[in-house]
Amino acid sequence: MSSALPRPVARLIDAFARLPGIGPKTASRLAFHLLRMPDDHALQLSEALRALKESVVHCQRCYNIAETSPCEVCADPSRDSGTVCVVEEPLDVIALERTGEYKGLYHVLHGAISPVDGIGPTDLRIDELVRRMGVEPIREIILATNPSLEGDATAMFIERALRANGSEVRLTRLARGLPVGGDIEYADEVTLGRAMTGRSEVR
Amino acid sequence: MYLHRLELVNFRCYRHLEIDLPKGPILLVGANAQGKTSLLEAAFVLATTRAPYGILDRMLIHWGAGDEVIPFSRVWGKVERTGGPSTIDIVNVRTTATPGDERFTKRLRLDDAPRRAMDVIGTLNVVLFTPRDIDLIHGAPAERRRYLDVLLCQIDRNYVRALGQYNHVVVQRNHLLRRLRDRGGDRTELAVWDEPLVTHGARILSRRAAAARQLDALAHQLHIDLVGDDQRLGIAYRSQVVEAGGDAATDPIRSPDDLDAAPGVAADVANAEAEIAQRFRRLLAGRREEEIARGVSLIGPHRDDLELRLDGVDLRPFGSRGQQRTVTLALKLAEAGVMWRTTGERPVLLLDDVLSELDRNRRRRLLAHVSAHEQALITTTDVTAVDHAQLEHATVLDVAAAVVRKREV
Ligand SMILES: [Zn+2]
Repeated sequence: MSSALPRPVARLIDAFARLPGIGPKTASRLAFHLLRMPDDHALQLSEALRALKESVVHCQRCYNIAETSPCEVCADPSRDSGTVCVVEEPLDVIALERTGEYKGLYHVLHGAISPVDGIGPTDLRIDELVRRMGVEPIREIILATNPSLEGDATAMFIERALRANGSEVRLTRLARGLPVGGDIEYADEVTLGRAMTGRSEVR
Repeated sequence: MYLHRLELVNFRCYRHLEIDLPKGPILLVGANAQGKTSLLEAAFVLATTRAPYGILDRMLIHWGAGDEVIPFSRVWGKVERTGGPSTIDIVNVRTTATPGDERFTKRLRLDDAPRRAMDVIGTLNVVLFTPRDIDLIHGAPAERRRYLDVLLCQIDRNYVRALGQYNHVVVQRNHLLRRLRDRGGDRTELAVWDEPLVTHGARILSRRAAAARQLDALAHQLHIDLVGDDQRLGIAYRSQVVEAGGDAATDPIRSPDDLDAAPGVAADVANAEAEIAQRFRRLLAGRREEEIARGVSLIGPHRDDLELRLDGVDLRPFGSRGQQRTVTLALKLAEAGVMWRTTGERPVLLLDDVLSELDRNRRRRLLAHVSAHEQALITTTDVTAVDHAQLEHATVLDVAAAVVRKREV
């Protein structure tokens, strides 16, 4: 950034420019907007950022983001601990919770297999899922990765990993009522609810 | 079918254009670089959602559009088909303009509703003839695969989808193969990419093999019509996967009657697809080590070619310039023929500067075929190069400095 800028402003612009989807122009605009903001608003934002990094943890059972481990879902005795829904991202959990159709637990992978992006199975929480199979009374695993090539490949890899481990758990895949190329996150609640009730057996 | 109306905003050399197009042959007359070809390109974009022969998105947008807040280009067309009219709207927006990293987003609408590319493609069918078609013969195999892809995408939306997915899988799989070559590691991950490679690949292969058979049957007679003597033009799809089982597509001599005699092409294709998938899977297993050693996917439709023979002689290395020209015309007319047989509609023909390259006889013979179509857009620098007897009912549009005017007769 230009040396005519006070260093703190330049630093903030650089920080914004590192965010996805934000170019240098937008980064400058955001920085100057914050500069003009009332002090307490700007400080609220900085406090929110600090809290994000300090108080958000990964639940050590389902690997969703939470304030505590185990998370609220895992700690809720009314949830069916015999069913685990495997999703790519924490936002997928929120989308599925919104349908009100699902009463089981989750497992968040934090991504999908994608060699182009350098993401392999070991970069995801797949081993952790296999381990859960050994210690939890799981009857069914719902593979709810996105209906994309990467989501399908990830679901297939998990299926093979579980079978190779001798597991005979019931495996199901969310029904394909989802829009082509659409992520779970963007599917509306009705579609997603239907997908959840209409899930199909894997082989 | 025909293109009834065309509107352009910031497209190529056009800042703004609205024009009604009649049925029948339309001659676009003007000096070079005045905007004749851009009109054919616009029609091609409406049909396929993409520019022809690797023109970049950046180049579709008029240079003056850079002054606008959000630079974009727009192609809008109204298409008349047997079933009624449809409108296609394709807007290409520049979303980021970091120097060296311009990005574009396409927004597609069919009858005013947002749609995916695979839903829009096929509404308008076109066949583009250009002097570059000569690359079909002596160019790389990719040129001939693209010829098949442009044809099949316009008549089979499952093909559009399979092709998009297949190309995506190949990219992923090649990255993985390269990683396994360079750093070793767990090979079980490969299996999850083999499956979509085979599924989408088999779909592409079955459609291409069937299309090559249809083209072979049609192009033979078309070529005879054009050159006036009985040489056998043979077209065959060459693939490791399809050939491995001695598929009918490898049989170079087939009579044109076979095509009509063939019972239920759709059922044939479905059976072929399952068989091809099996063979594909087997071949893949056999070449696993080689693929890892070379770090690249070695089998599948992305490695195939279309074989072209004249009286049994391979045209790719041996054809003369004149032969190549008439063979490409036969290939293009055959492409139009396959579209017509499949959809029941004659595609719009787009002839870009191809008449001037032909002698009087061949030009007359080509135009005889062209006039059988509901509409043809024909560019020429010299209106006298066209036989008026054949184009008596043609509409003449003068194109100069990106202004199009109807010539009154
Ligand atoms: Zn949890």
